[in-house]
Amino acid sequence: MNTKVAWIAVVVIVALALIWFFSGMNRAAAPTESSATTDTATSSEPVAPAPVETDKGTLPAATVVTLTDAGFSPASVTVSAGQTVRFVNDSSRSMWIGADEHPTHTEYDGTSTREHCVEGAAVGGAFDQCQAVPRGASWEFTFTKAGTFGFHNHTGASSVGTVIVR
Amino acid sequence: MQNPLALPFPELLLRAALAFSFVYPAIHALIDPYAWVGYIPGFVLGILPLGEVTVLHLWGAIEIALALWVLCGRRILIPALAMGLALLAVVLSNLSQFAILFRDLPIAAIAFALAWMHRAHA
Repeated sequence: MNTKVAWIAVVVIVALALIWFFSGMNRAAAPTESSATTDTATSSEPVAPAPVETDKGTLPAATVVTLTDAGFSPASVTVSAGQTVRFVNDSSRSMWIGADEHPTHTEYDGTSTREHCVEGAAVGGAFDQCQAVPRGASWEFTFTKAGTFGFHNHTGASSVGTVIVR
Repeated sequence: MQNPLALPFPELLLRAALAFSFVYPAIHALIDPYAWVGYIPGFVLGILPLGEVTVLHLWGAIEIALALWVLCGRRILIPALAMGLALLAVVLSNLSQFAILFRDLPIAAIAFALAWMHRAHA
């Protein structure tokens, strides 16, 4: 192959890669700009979220899934539609529950983390914690549609589990 | 220091491919660290008394150093081997994510091929 042609091909490929990369970077940076004063998961080490007051009396009992250093326990749970699953972090690393696939979390509702995570919280009912929390913290999600949904710890992707919603 | 422009084109492609696969995550981790922190093997976080994002960026600095070495270095046996082993470690410690990480295996093969090509420099 002519060396000059080869080098032109390399330059073109690198230029296209840079254009693609920086256009993607702008999209990814947008949510953090609007939350610069908050403790978002994309800008710092995880911090415990502020407690949220809920009327527990109106909610069905939550099924508890615990994250340990060995993974999720139980790794598979079955719940009814409308039931809440509470994920508790009892591991030595942070926890960010998200629907499969890692790292986009698209399998529950078709939207990706970039689309449904706004200021550390999911919008539109996405199955995504959208922020990392330290050991001792927990997060709840109410499953509203039937199906089998894989999930994982976004900050430790080898930990995986399944929620079966009937 | 090796001028990469003086390399045979096939070897330059191999080196550039391997270097890019290490530079991209290091840079993207500055923008979205939690897209990458999940791949850090748990035992690494157990050894280092640092936050996971800090470990990620330290690894990112090492990734860039390895990438520059393999792109511009003359004796690349060591960085190529290190890069291949690192990729294998990531895959083996995240087997549940193999559907995402399977491409790391052919990249590791590129690294080992480059190491083999430069084995005489050991």
